[in-house]
Amino acid sequence: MSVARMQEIQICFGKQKQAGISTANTGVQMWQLRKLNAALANPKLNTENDAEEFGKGHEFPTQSFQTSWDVNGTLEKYLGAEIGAWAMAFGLGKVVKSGTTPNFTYTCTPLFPANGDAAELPYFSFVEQIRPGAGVVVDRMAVGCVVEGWTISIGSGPGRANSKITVEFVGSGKYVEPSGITMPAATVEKLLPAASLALSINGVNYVSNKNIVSLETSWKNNVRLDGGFYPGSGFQTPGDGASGAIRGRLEFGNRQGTLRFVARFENGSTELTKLKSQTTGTAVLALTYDANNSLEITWHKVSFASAEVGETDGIVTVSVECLPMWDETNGIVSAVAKCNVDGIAQ
Amino acid sequence: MNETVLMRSPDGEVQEVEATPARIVPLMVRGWWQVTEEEVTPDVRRADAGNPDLLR
Repeated sequence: MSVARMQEIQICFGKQKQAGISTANTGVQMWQLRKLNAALANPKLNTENDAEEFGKGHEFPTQSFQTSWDVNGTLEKYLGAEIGAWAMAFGLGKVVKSGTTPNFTYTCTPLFPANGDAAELPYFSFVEQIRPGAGVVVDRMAVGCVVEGWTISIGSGPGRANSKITVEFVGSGKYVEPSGITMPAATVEKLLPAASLALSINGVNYVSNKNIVSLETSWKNNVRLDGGFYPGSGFQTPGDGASGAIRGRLEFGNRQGTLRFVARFENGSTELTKLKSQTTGTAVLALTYDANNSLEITWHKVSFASAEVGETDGIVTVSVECLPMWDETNGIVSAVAKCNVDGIAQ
Repeated sequence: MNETVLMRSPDGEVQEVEATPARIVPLMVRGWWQVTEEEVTPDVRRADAGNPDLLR
């Protein structure tokens, strides 16, 4: 048999949300996208043993038990309109879809249980395959996954690597092997390059003044993993109590949003002044492929938590950490993602 | 005519609103959800829905 190389790995995952945590996506609900990182979403079996139990006459284990399952993974990608829409919809959790082909628009916000929203994020299935079929190397599907968080990084330079997204996800622990999924054709992605950035933070347009150097914004759900195991949450093999417990829910914990950027610092730059006065304003960043493919993220109220003057490649710059705050009308963050793919998180 | 979406409040009120972030996001934050035409019966969308006289 020939060696299996990581370039062969193909992934597909739920473009549409699952009906529930334990109901896997079907093949037609999934899409295949490419990724940059080699890491696999390995199911991890947690075990315990009886070493600490009395009555054996010694301190050594005599039995081992399958107790629970974990699944987690990371997707690193060049930022495109499709993965941007998917990450916002599944990562923030609440979606309103409008538009028609070729311009579907997904308006996304976080869920707010205080206003009646669920505390569970939309679930998806995640499939990894290397040579599925008779010569299979890897073919498995993690069921009941949610987005733990996403990070968008924008840098200076000509290449695609200056606009990237990293999505972390966690699973219920349930997996299916072989997956039974026929890998869909790869989705053609529309890159959202750094050169398309529009950026306004706290009243300053950092693109028109040509001062932005780099930017990073992220969202983290801090999913309550242990809370997914509750009496009755279920087993890897239904009805088999020795097959290891799986989670019956994945709820977000205390969520965190971040926005930090580096900009050139020159005469008239206002970052230090705004830090001292704790001025608040919106932060809007937008990346565009064309009129039908774009991503706009709005932090509705930010102040500057820190601003430090330093240097980047010999140029005086200021590194600013923003504090996203709650806005009474618009909440903490919203995202408007446009792409030519129907049914994301629907 | 701008595109619209149907939104339902936590109390069950349904509104047809312009599909712009300025209109949608404040509603989403207050617990409103998008609903489809199929989820909204004609009776529910009428201004006099809920009038018990109609049920007699």
